[in-house]
Amino acid sequence: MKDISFFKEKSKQIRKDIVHTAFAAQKGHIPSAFSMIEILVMLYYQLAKITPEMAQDRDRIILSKGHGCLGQYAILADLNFFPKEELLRFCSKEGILGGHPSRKVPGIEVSTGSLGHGPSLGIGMALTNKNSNVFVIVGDGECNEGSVWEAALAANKHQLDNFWIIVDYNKYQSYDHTQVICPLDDLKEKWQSFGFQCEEVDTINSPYSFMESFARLQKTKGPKCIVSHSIKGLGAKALEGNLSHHHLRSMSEDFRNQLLMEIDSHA
Amino acid sequence: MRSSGLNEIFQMAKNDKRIVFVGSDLGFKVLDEFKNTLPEQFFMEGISEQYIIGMAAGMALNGKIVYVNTIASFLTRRCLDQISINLCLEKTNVRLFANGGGLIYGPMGPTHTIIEDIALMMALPNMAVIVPADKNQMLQLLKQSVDYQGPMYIRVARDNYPDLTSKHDIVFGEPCLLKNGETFAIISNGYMSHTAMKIAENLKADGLNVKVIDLHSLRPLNTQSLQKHLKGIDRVVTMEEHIKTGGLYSLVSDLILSCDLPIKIKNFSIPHQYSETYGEQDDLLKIMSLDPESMTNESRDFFLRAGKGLR
Repeated sequence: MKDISFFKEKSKQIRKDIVHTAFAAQKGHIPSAFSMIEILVMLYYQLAKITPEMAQDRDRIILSKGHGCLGQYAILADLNFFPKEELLRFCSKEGILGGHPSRKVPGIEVSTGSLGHGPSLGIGMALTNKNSNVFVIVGDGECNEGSVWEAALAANKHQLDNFWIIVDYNKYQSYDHTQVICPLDDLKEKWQSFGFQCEEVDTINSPYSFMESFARLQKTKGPKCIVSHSIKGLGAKALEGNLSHHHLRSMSEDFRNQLLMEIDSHA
Repeated sequence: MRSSGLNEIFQMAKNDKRIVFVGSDLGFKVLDEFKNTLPEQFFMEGISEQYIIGMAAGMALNGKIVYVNTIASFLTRRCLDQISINLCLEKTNVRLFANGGGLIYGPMGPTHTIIEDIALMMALPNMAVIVPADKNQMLQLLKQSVDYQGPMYIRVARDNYPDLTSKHDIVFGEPCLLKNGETFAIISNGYMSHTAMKIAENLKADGLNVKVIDLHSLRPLNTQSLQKHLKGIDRVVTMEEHIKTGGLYSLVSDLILSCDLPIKIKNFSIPHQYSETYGEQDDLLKIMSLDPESMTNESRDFFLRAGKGLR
């Protein structure tokens, strides 16, 4: 078990890699990636069994909220799924990394980006390989999609012990607050009522409590859900809760430097 | 009406652990033996087509060959995004075995009939599209579907359609020559191939020896074979239980234009509108003048115009 300082440092490094990636491309959904970095780092570096060498028995991580792919790309590069230089070709015609994950990218299980697809894909995988866990990360806005709940019904029906939903509940969607566009409260209760073992974690103030929730849920039967309360842009003050950065169209050198500094000073 | 196809999938699944069946709350009693014999390969899911497509794709990504069966209208219209992204983009080995394409569910009305399913599926890259004319053709093509790489749409033929093809070779991707002839040809598929044969028979009385080509495979299609069959043909009539756009007529007329073939073409298709009439498949086709008698007359006119030099 790696200690907390490892995850803290790794999360900072990944956030910085994201900033460099987005700066190179002058585009990318940074805040949507930042809100779930700690979760991704804990999954990829500790909780999921997944390496570039593993074949069928690997765990599956599906980023159903595909627009958050910058975080996944930075981690996959760091774990040597592909060369790190690829990050600097993000969204360019020379590169393999696009604005949403594609299965052509080593480490990406399935193309996502059209919201609400990941849970169903994950159930198909969990049903046909009981020896590996399937982790599907969905956004809170994504929970507006009916197909998420179709899949939730089915996960309960099949009592999938190896199926996990992780909700990156960052409280913002594309246009406005989740609360304004389509309220989800009480989200934990919703997942429970669909038959999931569900816990909530405060990713803003105690991000690593995710591991404790994970360990508890791991011992339970049936599908599991962790609702991660977060904030869009978590980890860089200038981005936090600021919806204008959701659709990045350009990034100045000054702003890049500011973000890098803020990442360093983040607790 | 579809039990032979489902039984074929069952028989194939017995010999091949990769084969998985996914249904959507359909097939009461028909599928009990499958369910009881191969519980690991049999999934009867809820009324949730979007989920089912994603689930099937997830299974296929784990090495399964997945046959999904439900009603064509819900299978195609309802979850086109999932089909495009999870099946076609990913080239997953999922076969959509779709009941009731065309007007088969005519008594149920426009929520259940679908006259644009082939256009929707043909619009998607990588999607194979199959429209069998009878039980034999459907079963032959099902057998051949196992090893196909990528997604496939199969518009199910009713078991009670008369036998049309059992004396012919059925090869996935190849046109099926149902009747030889000269100068004039009918190209059809599905239920319309039965009508096409009746019309060819009727036109014998007019001294016309009409060729009938069944295009069960719209994609992939060996267009060179089709061109060979069209050699010496001056006039072609297409017949399909589908709208004019995006199906058989579109495909054949595109071939004629793009290969600059000296052929005049006429189509029989379903009008591009929602039906306001309920009724059986044959009743509705008659209302639309897509019955053997109406089409015999129109085809005769079209073919004979050539003979009178009215091209």
